Amino acid sequence: MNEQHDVIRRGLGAIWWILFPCFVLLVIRLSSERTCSDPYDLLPALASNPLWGWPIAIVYVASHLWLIGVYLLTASCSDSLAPSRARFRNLWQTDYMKILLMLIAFVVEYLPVTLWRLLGTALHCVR
Amino acid sequence: MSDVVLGGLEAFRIRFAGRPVLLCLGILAVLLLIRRGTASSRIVRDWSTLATVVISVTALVALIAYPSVAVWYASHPHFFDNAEPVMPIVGWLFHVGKPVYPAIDAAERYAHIYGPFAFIAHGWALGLLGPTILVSKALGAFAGLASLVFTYLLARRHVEQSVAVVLAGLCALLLLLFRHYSFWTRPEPLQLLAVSASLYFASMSSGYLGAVFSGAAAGVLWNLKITGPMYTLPVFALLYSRRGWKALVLAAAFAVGVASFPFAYYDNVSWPQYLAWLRLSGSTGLLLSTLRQNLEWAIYLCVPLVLSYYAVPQSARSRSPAWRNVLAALVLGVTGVVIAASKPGAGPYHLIPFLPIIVFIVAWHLERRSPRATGDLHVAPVSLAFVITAVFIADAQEAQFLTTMRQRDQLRESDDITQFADAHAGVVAVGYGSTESLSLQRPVLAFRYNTYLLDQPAIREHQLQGLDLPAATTRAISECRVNYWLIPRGEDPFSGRNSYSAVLLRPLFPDEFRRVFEQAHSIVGTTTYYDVWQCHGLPDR
Repeated sequence: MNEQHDVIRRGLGAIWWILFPCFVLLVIRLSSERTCSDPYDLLPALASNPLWGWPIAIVYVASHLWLIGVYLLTASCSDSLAPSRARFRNLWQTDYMKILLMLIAFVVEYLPVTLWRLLGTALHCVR
Repeated sequence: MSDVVLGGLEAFRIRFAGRPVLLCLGILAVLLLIRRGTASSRIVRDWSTLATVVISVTALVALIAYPSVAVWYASHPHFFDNAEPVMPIVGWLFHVGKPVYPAIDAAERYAHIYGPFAFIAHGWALGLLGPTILVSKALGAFAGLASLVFTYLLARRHVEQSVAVVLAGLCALLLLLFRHYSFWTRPEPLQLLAVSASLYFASMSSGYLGAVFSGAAAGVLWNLKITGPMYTLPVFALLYSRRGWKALVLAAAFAVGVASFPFAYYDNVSWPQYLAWLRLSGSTGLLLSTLRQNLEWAIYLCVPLVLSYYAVPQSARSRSPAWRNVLAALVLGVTGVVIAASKPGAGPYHLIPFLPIIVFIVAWHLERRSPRATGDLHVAPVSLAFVITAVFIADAQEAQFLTTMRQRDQLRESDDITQFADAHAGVVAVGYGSTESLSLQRPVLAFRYNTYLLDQPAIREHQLQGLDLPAATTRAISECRVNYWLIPRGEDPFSGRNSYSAVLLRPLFPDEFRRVFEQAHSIVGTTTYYDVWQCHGLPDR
């Protein structure tokens, strides 16, 4: 790994501390909306207010960019379109856990709406 | 095509057309299973050759399909989308000297937040060739097709003819993912043309002339939509990297000049009014479900950048500062548009103007590829999954588009409207009932009388922005500004409801407006498609 890659890697690792808590909070809030409220009009009161809507959108998009950045950096360092898990672990070392936690948040965010609606029905919270 | 196939495609469209990444991953998983399953039997010996053949054939088919569909749409007088008719109408009103952006409290309710060039282009074409719907649609098709030619020329900057043809074909395939948005009457075809022309001139090697033309095309882009500058970031990054800051400043100066020209030159294009409408539109916030969809589309459309990078051996990969700057600018621009296009009513189609830029960078990546040296082994299956995804979604989108248009083309509302207008003195306008498809031919009458009072898509947007119909509009209705309203047969006049989630099902026209309309008008007859409501003014109190 060259020096430039190392700077990017450390930068992504540092940004995680700001991005991840915000993204997790957002995912929890969105999941509860999908479970109990309108799954296609998420956080309408917040999102329709530009003061809140834009920061929320920035956190959401930045989290995606973070994960894409992690992938691209690993792919570039390992010179492979599909780097192995071992390669991720070797490259990111202690920061590997950060990637796993972010991935879990993404899996939750991208679970099918049907599952959330089923959960909502089971919890009797569907409005 | 049988109803069963069409039904299947429509079900697929509803379920998957908005989830390209998910679909691509699913198809990739299936392909990898096939590869693993056939590894021992060697049914498919060379996935790279298979991918090359499939991609080339698909691209060539798309290169035939795209112009065919665009020309076919342009040659029929019906619109697909309810927001299309306003473009030629306002274009024509501009041509006859009426305001492009009426005041916020004006009786006329047709203001949209597109920049003036989006309407002026139609105004010029209609003024030159005559006011017909076909001229307006031909403009969209011409712009879409011309942008494809520029995209081919952009690819030719880096790769040989055969590869450039395939890349232009892939661009056509990706354009078909967005149904007819790249050749309709709204600003997207003009944006495509402006961005591809701007990039083409920026990539010219001759002096400062390229910078001047590139800046002029960028100016059109800046003017068409408020998000225009985001699309030009990669163009300007290229100019700066290859020709230095002087070329960049020259291009930016021309862009500012061209973008501000309509406001400075034409009396009926008001900068304060445009700003007022823009400010109002900015107050609507974002839709998070649209944001996620935009992100998925942006990721999917950028997949070819990664694939083409790894398609060549490491030693042949681009690493120049110019390449890095253009790529960084593209990421910045795409990110900005992804967020800005999350406003209610927007969506992934705002990413369309990035396609020529993506094709240009893909060609750049493939510049030093060699048939003897192979790239990453994973490129072939992922490329196949990408193209198959595009084919599935494009098929579903176009099937829905063609089916709807075939049904619309059986109607003859235009003749019906013209016959009625020929036989009656006074101003005739097409109004709205509870549905909208029979109101799509309203440009015919706007061209005839040079007037346009109510644009339902604009009113829908205004309501979302918290702006109700002003008293001036109700007054214009009661004072018989329009003598005859043609309302779709059997429908209550002006009974449409808003489809935006924030104001879902709210009546588009307030009770007071409808009460005044019914007091001032009565049905005096019917035509084949419309009830005729004649204005006789409000009764004396």
